[in-house]
Amino acid sequence: MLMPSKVKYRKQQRGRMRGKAYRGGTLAFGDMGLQILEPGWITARQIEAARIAMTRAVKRGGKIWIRIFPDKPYTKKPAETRMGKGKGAPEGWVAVVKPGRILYEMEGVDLATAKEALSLASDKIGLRTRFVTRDTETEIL
Amino acid sequence: MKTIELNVERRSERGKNEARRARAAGRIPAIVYGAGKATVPISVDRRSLSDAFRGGAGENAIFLLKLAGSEQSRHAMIKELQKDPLSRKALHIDFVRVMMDAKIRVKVSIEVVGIARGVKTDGGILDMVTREVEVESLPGNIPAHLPVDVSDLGIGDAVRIKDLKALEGVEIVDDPEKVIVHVAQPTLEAEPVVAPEAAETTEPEVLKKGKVVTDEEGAAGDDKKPEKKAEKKEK
Repeated sequence: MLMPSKVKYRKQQRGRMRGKAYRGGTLAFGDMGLQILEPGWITARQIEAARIAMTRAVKRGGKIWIRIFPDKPYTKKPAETRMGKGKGAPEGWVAVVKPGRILYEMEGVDLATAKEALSLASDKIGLRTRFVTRDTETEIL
Repeated sequence: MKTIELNVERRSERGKNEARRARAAGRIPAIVYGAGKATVPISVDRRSLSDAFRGGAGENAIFLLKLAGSEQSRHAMIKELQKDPLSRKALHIDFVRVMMDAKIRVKVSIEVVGIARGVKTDGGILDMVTREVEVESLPGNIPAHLPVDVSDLGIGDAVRIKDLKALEGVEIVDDPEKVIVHVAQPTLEAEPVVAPEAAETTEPEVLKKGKVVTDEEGAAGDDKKPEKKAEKKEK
């Protein structure tokens, strides 16, 4: 699973997720991608599960890029613990995403296969997403 | 390339509030600069711009900006287009003035033609490394796309910039050795060697400035806390 190799501090505050993703919101590598439509935390497990689902769907062939990285640690207090006595222990890693962020990109597969694969990946993410292509990106409304 | 006529209006007021009002009224705030002349804030009709793009105006389209209420008109290109990442509506446009008789450098997108032999028969993956090529030409000669025929490519073969067919009046100024597209061998997904549970428990190295706690210490520390709490409770 994805996680940083080195960190400056073990624990972080939760933070806010206001606004839209004005960076990382366009396709940079592939022809098709998955764009998130709502803000949220995506755990390293979800990222990995979605990647596996996608890779299995495209079988051989195709190239996949992961455009997010879980660099934020989240903590959890043990069960049946009274409040207080400090912050809980680090439990896992999440990527903070804002609406518009591209999560995955794909190349080298036909449109129908890519749509199916990215739809399966979207189911693992648990937030609203949409399928984007280079054509939809150049659209100006 | 065809010139697209666009009626523009001069903006008298600036700032985000005015820009928002303009967008709500169906106009896109924009600015025109370049050619050693003054910068002029303008606004463009959203519908006429989107119609121009639907009509095939690419990223390097030449616009003839006609200023409303005057006879002034000027050739310009889009330098930057800011878009809303969700609604895909244009938020702001930067136009740069172009002289139709002076050469300019622009990036032209690559258009892949045909299906590679390596993909069709050997199951390879067509990997597009470079999507845009920098060219120098007169504004009127800028091609919409640069076609690249990939039908003869087998696995391991590549098309480089030097292999591109020269177009009349267009000079490619990018590195000639740069790979545009190549056919790669498909890679199979390797099974993870490390058990997922073991991978989850490892913590990254904490840099010196922060609190350095190893896994064992951290685990021991966590265990100690509930014990202390229990002791207090008994008291």
